[in-house]
Amino acid sequence: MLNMMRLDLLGMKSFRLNMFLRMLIPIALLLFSSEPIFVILMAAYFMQDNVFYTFVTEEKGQLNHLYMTLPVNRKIIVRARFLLILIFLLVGITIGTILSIVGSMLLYGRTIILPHSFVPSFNAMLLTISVSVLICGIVNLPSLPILLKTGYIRGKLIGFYLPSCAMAVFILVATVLVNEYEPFREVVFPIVEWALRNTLSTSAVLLGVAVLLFAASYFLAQRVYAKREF
Amino acid sequence: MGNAIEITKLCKQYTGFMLNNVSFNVPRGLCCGFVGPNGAGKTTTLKAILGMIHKDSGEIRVLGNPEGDAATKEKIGVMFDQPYFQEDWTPLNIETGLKPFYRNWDSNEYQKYLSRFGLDPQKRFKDFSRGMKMKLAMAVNLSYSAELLLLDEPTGGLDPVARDEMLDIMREYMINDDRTILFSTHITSDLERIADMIVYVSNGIVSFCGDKDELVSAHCVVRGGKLPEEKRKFAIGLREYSGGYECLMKVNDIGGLPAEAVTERATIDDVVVYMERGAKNA
Repeated sequence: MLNMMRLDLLGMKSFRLNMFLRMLIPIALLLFSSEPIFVILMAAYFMQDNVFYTFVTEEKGQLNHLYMTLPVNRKIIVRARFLLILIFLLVGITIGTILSIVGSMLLYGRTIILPHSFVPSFNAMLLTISVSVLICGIVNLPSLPILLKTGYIRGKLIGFYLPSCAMAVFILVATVLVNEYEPFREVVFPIVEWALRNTLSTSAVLLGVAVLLFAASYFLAQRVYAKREF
Repeated sequence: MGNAIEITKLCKQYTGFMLNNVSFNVPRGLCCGFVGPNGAGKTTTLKAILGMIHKDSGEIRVLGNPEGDAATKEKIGVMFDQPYFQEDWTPLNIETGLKPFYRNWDSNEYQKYLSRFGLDPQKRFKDFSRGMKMKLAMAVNLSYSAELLLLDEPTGGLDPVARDEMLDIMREYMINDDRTILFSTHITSDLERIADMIVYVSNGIVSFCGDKDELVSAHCVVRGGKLPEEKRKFAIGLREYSGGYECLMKVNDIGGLPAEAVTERATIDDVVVYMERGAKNA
């Protein structure tokens, strides 16, 4: 499986610059937003999103045909792809957390969620990380099975652009509402405060749901990929 | 020595096309040419052998195992009409990516073939000519000592020199008695030069499977003024023109032709051309 993952990464060779540039988006958010903790979510999302380059390259160079000639079964190919997503997600969360802490200390020295603290608290970060993983789980639930079934060219609209755009719009609207719309804050902040008081249980539930979504996506992806013809 | 490939009653239905009870065996140690017109089912059969498509019915065994078996693929080298490598990969990248999959991968052998084929290890795949790309794919296949090569049009689109070199590589590969090649082609001279046996497929049906010389010696080209009505059913790829006719016929069927009819020994080229014409006219 590691060999397969390595090959996936090698296939993305021509997109390394794109992958780097995508990480500038969370940094831009850090510079221009008053909410550095959201950087964790953005970094996690944009990093895990990089896995879609494997689908692009698969069809561009017909790598999926190459995979079919290799001494690996189809289950391993799907498993490697999911492992790659989880690794990207982990890397994104790590980068986002570091950016968030450093950004809070150097650029703002304050946060809105926790106005008296100079850096986001552990609780706030844990909660944001859980939400990030959940969001990635929601996006990947339809994306990966669709792309593994149809390939990128046929499936990019409903398997990539639609879930990504829907989630981007959701995050953007939520960010704007939190920052600009007082009635929304009045509704959301008590929930956030409650969640912060019960961080461990809230995070556990969010992560549990995310794991279930990833598991559903994985089993669905295995089923459709086993039937795919090349 | 047994068969490297055994296909029994393979069926696969698509809209407008069907592999219909395809059956043939390729014994180990032989080079088998897989011929037939475009859309006859050659690539579909090769894909079925690799498990890239799912058969509707029938049985496929490759090196003694069912098709698509991951462990068996370690002994199979594959080359479709173009190698499936990323455009920005260099031969070194290809080795980095593929070597871990093959226990028998020999880096020295790979380097040797790169050097022998004049392939710059640092050059990107997209910058190679078609002939070089095919040679690179062969270098990969030869680096892990594949026991069976499945090649789809390996010489298609190559200039005569590159084609000759590719055939030399294939011939050299076959020096080892355990090795087998199944290659599809449209170029009949390739069959003449390298194939031991031929499988002819047309409209998803195998019309002939056997020794190359047997195929040639079993047929002859017939030319004459007028083909008797009772002999028309034996004519393969019949072409009639104002002055007469010409067709391919099995040697066993030529009895009873008029005295003016001329029969000539068929070549592989004749057999394939007339069979393809016959398939088109059918």
